[in-house]
Amino acid sequence: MNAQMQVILESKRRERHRLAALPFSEKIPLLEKLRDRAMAIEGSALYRIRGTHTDKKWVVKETALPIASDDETAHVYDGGTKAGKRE
Amino acid sequence: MKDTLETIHRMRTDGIIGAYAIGGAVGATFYLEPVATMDVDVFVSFKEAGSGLISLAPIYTYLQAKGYALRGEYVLIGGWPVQFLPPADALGEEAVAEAVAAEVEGASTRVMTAEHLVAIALQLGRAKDHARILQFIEAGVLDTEKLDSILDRHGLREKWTCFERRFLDGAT
Repeated sequence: MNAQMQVILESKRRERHRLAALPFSEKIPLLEKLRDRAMAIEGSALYRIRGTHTDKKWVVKETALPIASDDETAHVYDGGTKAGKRE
Repeated sequence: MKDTLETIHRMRTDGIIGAYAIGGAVGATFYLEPVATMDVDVFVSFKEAGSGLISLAPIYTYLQAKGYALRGEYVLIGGWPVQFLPPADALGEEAVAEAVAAEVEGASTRVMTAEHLVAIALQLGRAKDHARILQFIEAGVLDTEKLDSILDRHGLREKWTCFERRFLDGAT
């Protein structure tokens, strides 16, 4: 990772710490904006057709995943069709 | 959100629900930067029907009588879809029982501890749960002794070891 990227990441980390330290009442408007944005994105046509241009539909697994006990990476995605609970 | 939290807390004082705790992304936001979410997860100790089955009916009846709209398994309260959930197991029961009191703009509420939120996320084990655990660690808000105790008590030690090995520097 180059130095510039490290500076960028550190600045993001600082901002996240600043946001985390806010009183919950000050986080509420941010939560509501995030919720509205997420709903707008989910409702957009672009979001709904995403993945239809490939043979495989990638759906994030919502069921519990076993964590690989060795260095193998657990499969985070699969081609299943089960759409789980949103968060 | 204030209305949402007030209404949920009033359900407790009105005897509709027993102990409760805000969990999920909204619960996490008490400790972390705000997290994108569309709903509020409320874990409640339900009154059991005679058959031993958990009944959501008193909650829905109470809220409908007060004019709140139902949308599937959610109830719209103060503009937020709220889902009432029974604790899934002993860990969930403990998370509700040990929730901490909080106040938001004068509204009282109860929130799961950061350590219980992490233990539940570890148990769920989805990609976003792992990401959230890392956020908790990075935020430095965890009491590691308390977390260790929860992990041991609920049989999550092995999962935690695997999580550490996979995601944390310095883990053996």
